[in-house]
Amino acid sequence: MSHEVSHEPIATETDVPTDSDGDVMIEVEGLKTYYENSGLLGGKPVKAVDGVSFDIRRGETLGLVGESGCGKTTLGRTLLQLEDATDGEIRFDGVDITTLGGDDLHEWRRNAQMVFQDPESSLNDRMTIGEIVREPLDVHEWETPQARRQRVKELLDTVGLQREHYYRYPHQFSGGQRQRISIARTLALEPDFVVLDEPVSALDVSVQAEIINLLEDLQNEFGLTYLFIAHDLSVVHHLCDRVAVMYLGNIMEIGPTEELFTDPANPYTHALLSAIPEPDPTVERDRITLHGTPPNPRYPPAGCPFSTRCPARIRPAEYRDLDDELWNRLNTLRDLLSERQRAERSVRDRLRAVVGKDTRFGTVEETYDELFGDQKVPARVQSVLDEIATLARNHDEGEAIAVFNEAFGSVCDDEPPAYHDVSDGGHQSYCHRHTNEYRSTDAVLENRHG
Amino acid sequence: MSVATSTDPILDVRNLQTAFFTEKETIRAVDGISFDIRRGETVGIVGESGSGKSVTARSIMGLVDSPGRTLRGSSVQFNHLETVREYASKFPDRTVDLETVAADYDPVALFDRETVDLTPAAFGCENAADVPLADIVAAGYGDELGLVDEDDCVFVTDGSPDTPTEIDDGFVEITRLSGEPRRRMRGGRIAMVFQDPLTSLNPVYTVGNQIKESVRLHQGLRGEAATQEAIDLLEAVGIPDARRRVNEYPHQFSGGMRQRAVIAMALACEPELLICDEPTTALDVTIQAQILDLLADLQAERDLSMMFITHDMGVIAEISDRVNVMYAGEIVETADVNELFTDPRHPYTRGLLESIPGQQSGDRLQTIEGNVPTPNEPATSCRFAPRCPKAFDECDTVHPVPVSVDEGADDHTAACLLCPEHRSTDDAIDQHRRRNARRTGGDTE
Repeated sequence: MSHEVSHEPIATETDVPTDSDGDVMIEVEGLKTYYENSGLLGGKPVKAVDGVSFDIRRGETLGLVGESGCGKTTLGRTLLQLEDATDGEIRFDGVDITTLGGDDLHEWRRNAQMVFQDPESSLNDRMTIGEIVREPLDVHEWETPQARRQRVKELLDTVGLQREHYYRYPHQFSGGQRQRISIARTLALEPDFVVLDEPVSALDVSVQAEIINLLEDLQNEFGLTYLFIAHDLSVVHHLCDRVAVMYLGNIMEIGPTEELFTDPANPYTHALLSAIPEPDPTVERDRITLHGTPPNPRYPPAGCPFSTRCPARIRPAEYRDLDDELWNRLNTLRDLLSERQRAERSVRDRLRAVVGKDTRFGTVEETYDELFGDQKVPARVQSVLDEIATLARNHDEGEAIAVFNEAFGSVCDDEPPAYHDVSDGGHQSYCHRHTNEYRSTDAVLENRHG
Repeated sequence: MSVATSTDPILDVRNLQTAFFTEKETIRAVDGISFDIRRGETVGIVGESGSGKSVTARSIMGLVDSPGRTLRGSSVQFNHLETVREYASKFPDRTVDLETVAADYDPVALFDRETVDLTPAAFGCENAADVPLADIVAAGYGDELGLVDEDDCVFVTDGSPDTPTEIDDGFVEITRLSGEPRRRMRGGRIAMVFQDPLTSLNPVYTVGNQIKESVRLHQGLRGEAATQEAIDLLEAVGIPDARRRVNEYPHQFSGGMRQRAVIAMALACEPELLICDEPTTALDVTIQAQILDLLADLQAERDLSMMFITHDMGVIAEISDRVNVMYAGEIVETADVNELFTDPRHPYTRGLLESIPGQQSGDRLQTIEGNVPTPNEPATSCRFAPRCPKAFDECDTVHPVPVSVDEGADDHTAACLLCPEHRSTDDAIDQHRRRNARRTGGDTE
């Protein structure tokens, strides 16, 4: 096909040997994508992707899972240069695409396409199916208009639709068929790499199965490489060769699918896997229910991103004997303090506080009563709590948090962990527990939640 | 009749039909379904989108808007003794003592009247004498038979409406509610949690304000007392720092917190029955786990009955005691949750279970070919037949009705011509044909 010619800028670069084995298609190193505040004073950026590194091998399916807001979609979009990377490199066959611009970028994009989550909003309702699928061909001026029409019809065949559908409009199709149209459009330029952003989340389970089968068939037929973004772990388990688990802009664990699902190394993966409801009512599992919600990516924790919710957080040695429930309450207290620190206090609140009326914040006593009223608090913990209470009463939450961290913090809160190799198969985990100093995650979870 | 026990259903849905009348066609979104919910139990309803799950919930809540309405012949009985007593004392004009009515009328004579186009078969009975009067009245035929007034909705079957505290049995017919009795039922006795917490909260009022609204309407609390109640409710659903949160707006809450607030609102009036319409579909798995835990705790604490709608088989397996599988407006299989997952009998249920990734050994996922049809005509065949791998000729001519799947398996029913399995297929088809004839009051062939 003629587009081999236009491949040139990249094709010449691929001849340059890369530093790793030739099997690798995409190398991502220290990638960061921040959303800056557009305001005059700037302020803190939202750290959607905060330093990730991984490889994608040719022909494989890499799964990317995580909760909403963890940055998985942003990562996918950055890989396709739909978002500008703040820092780091994305080497696609050896070329750093973050530096590409203008015509080079336009040409490169033939190679990498995306399927979006919601088939209701990713197709233009005013265009016929033919026009939608043909658009990428038109944009890249692929051969003659006649050949384009022919190609579109072939594509409709490929994804399991009929050629007559060319002249129909999107509203005449069901969700599953619309997703097929979306996939046909993606394949129009014969890309090597496709980002699938939750392609089946909006579909019913039986339709979902059809689309998954189709994706697998297409991969075999055209030798595609997929980045499969999803929050449904059972789909990922079925489809992917390797999985990366993301939390708050960081990859917490990456490894071969089977190994990661049967023997997760990171506490977050443990919790995520145990939270999936099994379609089998007889299964009795010890579910690890995580407390609270992920932190605001504008204010990520200083240490490990997962430290605020971690079920296996390292606790300071002097408080190791405290009750688990008391630890939960202490964590809630810290969350409350940091939330209050950021909550804006209106003039009305300040006035009410001055004249001694109830403010919407409630008093520290009420909070303490709610949190620790039914707990046995040892004296040494109580003395720290008293100190925090004094500070919180004066609305010095920042200082109160500092006191809290001084007493109850640990390496998890202070230092970001490093990636540790868990096995030989490229299975890595981002957690302090993998150093020899501390007990293993499995043992701790068994102990605390077993 | 005896005093209600804990195994008696609190909600008894019989032959519920809800249709939407559009210019083009009549869509029978819910087409004659029957199920019950017992006290303290969770009944799951599962099915693909478009199968009528949400319309079922909305019909029970009385939230079906024009052009849709619940058809005559539908009955949803709320069998809660305290509610019946309260309604009987608050609305004596709308209360009927069925014992007195029964003394005056003879059911056999009723069916002979020419004004009524009705057969005993419509109630699943062979003889006119067997049809309970309560059923006739509940299904809405009482008005034209001259038995009850149009707005009667509380029916006492044991005891006298004149002394409400001594009523021993009776029910409130939900499909006949209107005005004040309906408002008291909605929210006060049956509450609902919707799918998307962001659209079920009003963005311009604080969360506290919205909780206080139902506290004010149903419990009559005002001012400081109402605020305190709202705070207590938020604490009960696990929202920390409730005193501050109560004055915040929905956008300041995270998704899980919002759903907790919606649950707090639903619980504000201590309902007997909580209807959850896909409450966790919009949430992440870790947050979903929190909400499922919360619902289970609340249920144990308050002895709530729950109706739980979802399309996620995993969630259903986890939370429900019994499951109804819906397809194109009909319930195709009903069973205890363990039995449904280990021994599904309806081909549709099997297909659903097999299409879940990770549930089968092979490389390829099993699929169900085709789409859920729109039920726009009364069923004369099996609606699943075009997609069914086991379909045979009779599937296109005989409409299957829910029957026990096997001898003695009364709690496990499936609407498939292959059931009951202990009989030969011909016998089974005959049974479906007969039951069908009774249901529609005429021969289908």
